[in-house]
Amino acid sequence: MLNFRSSYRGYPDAKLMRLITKGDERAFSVLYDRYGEKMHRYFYRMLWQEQQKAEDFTQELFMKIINKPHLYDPDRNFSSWLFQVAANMVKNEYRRHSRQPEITAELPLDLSLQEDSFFECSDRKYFKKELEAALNRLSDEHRQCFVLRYLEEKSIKEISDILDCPEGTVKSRLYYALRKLAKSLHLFKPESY
Amino acid sequence: MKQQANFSEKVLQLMTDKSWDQLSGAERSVVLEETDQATYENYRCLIGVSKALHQQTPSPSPVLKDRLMAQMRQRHAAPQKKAFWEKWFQWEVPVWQVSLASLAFVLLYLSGIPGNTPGLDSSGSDQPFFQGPVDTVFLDVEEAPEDSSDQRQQLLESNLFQYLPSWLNTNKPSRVQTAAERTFVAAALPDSETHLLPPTQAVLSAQQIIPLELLEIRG
Repeated sequence: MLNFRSSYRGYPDAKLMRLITKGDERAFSVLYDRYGEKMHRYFYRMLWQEQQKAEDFTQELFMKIINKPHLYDPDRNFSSWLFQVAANMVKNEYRRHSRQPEITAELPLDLSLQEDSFFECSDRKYFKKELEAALNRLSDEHRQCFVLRYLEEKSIKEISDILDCPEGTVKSRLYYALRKLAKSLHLFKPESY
Repeated sequence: MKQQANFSEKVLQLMTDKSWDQLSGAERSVVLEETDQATYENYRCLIGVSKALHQQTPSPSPVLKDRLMAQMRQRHAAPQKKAFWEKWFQWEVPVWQVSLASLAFVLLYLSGIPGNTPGLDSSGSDQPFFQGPVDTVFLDVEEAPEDSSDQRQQLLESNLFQYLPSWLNTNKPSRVQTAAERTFVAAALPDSETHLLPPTQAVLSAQQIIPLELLEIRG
C-alpha cells in the first residue's frame, strides 16, 4: 500500500488530473502537496500579503480542480494552466477592488538605504517590508511578470502562455518591473534614470 | 553600454544564476551589450533577496487541505439510490422529442376523427360539428307463424350454415328429424291451456331431442 501510494508521487500532473477526474482522492492529495504551497505563496504575493485572502483563493483554485477537472486540457502544461487560472482569479480580484489598498502608508517611499548596507542586506527585516511595499506599488502586469519570472521561476514562454501576451511584452514588463523596484529602493543614483 | 527597453532571455537567466564574478568572458560581453556591471549586480541582488523573501511566505493552514479532501470525498461519493417514482419525475426528455411526439399526436387525432370531412368543416355553424354514425339499427323481422316448427327449424339450420364454408354446407347434419317426428313433438309441447300441468312422458322425451331454442319459443 505504501509502495502504491509512493508511486503516485512520480506521476506526471496530467495523469494525476485524469485520476482526479475519476474521483481518486490520493491523486488529489499528491497534486495538492505538489502545488498547494506554491499557489498559496503566489496568491499571498499577488494579493497584498494577506494570509486569509491567500488561503481563500488557494481553496477556490483547488475547488475548481475538484469540481471541473475536465476543464484542463491534457495537451497543455499543467503548471502553466494552473497559474493561468490563478492569474485570472487575481485579475478579477484587482478589478473588484479597482484599486489596491494603501498598505504602505506608514512606510517611507524614499528609502535611504546606502548601497553598501543594501548589498550586505543586514537590515533584512526593514528591507523585507520595503520590498513588499515596492512590489505592491508595481502595476498589476509588472508584478505578475516579476513574481512569475523571479519568484516562481517560470520561463518567458510560460509567462507568455499564462498571461496570454507576447514574449516581447513579457520581457519589456520584466525590464520595467526590475527598474521600478530598483528605483523605489534607491539602488541606483537618481540621475542615472 | 547599450540601453534598451528589455533584457534578452539569456541575460535574465544569467542574472538569476550567476554573479558577475562567475560570468565567463563571453557571458560578460553578452551582458555588457545590454547593461553595465553595476546594474547587473544590483538587479541580481534584488532578485535574490526577493526570492528569499518569497520563500519565507507563511504556509497555508493544514485545515485547508482537510477541507479540500472532504470536498473531494463528497463530490465523488456514490449517489444515493432513488425510488423509481423520483427517477420517473426527474426524467429529462429532449424538447425536440416532446415537440415531435405532440405534433404527431395532434395529426393522428385530427386525421382519425370520424366524420371529419372537408364538407362538414365548410357547412357553417348551424351544422353539428361532430356527427357520428347511427350505432343502433332496428330491423323489421317477419314473425314466424305459431305452428311453424318446420320453418323455424329450417331457419335455424339456414342461419347456422350461413356461417360455415360452402363445402361444409353440403353435408347433412348427422341427425335429421323426420316430418312425422317433428309433428309429434309439436303436438306434445305444452300450449297455453296445458303448460301448468305436469309434463307428460312425451314432453319429457321431446325435451331431450328438441333444441333449447325451440323450447323457449313455446314458453
